[in-house]
Amino acid sequence: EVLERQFEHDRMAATLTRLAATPPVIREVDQPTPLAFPILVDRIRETLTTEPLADRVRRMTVALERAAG
Amino acid sequence: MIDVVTITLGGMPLSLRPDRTAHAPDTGVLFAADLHWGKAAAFRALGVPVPRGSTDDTLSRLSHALTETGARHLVILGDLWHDRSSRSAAFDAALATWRERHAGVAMTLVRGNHDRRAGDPAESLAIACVDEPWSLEGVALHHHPPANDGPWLAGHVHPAARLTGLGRQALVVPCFHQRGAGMVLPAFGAFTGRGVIEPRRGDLLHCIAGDAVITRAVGR
Repeated sequence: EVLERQFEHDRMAATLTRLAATPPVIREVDQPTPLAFPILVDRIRETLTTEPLADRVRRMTVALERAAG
Repeated sequence: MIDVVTITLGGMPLSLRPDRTAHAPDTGVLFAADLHWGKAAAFRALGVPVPRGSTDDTLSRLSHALTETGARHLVILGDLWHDRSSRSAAFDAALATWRERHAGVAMTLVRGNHDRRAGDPAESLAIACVDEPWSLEGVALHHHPPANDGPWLAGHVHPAARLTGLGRQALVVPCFHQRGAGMVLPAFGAFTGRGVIEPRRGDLLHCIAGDAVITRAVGR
């Protein structure tokens, strides 16, 4: 009963079987899609900081886009 | 407590301040570039929504710099005005009040491209206008950076440094861009946009980070 009512075991199994049978479709998109949002939030977390700006700048270096002359 | 960087340009000691001005303590001159008074109003007049108060902010920060340094002479390296098409009586009155507050300070404008379009400030504002280059204590003062080796000070570019760090950090900060004996000042005005510079080995970028100016040399 738990397997059927709580986990809807049969429905899950049917879905997984269907997914395994269909080929994945890969599409390139111009903008992040709604389902990508949690991944983007994680990436942003890497750039948030509580360090004072001056300390960060002291540890950074000038970005050289191309080989400078 | 602010951290300044002191350099010598053409024999003139200069204190580079995090408020985006440069102070020459020996002569009591304060340099600022690209004030762009009235830029926000000009944008609003064209239908672009921009918050009010940016010129007030610029004027009060300038007052603060003048008071802190005790400068006797303010030299503006171009683009005092952004555009005067959106002038108003209230705006003119605010400027007159501000000028009065610093009646003991001489003010000179080295004309820039926006100034040429907007015209010289009213005589009552007592701001002397000169064309570039204007020489002061052996240093050439420009709005547009010249192509020579200096010593010179200029504006116009609104320089900003792109910095990178660990963990794919990236930061763009306004800076004083020094190459040999020539230096471009950051834009003093609020809401002025940033020109990210392409640095060359040997350049010194004096970056503004909050209350401190931090020098980053380009190249090893």
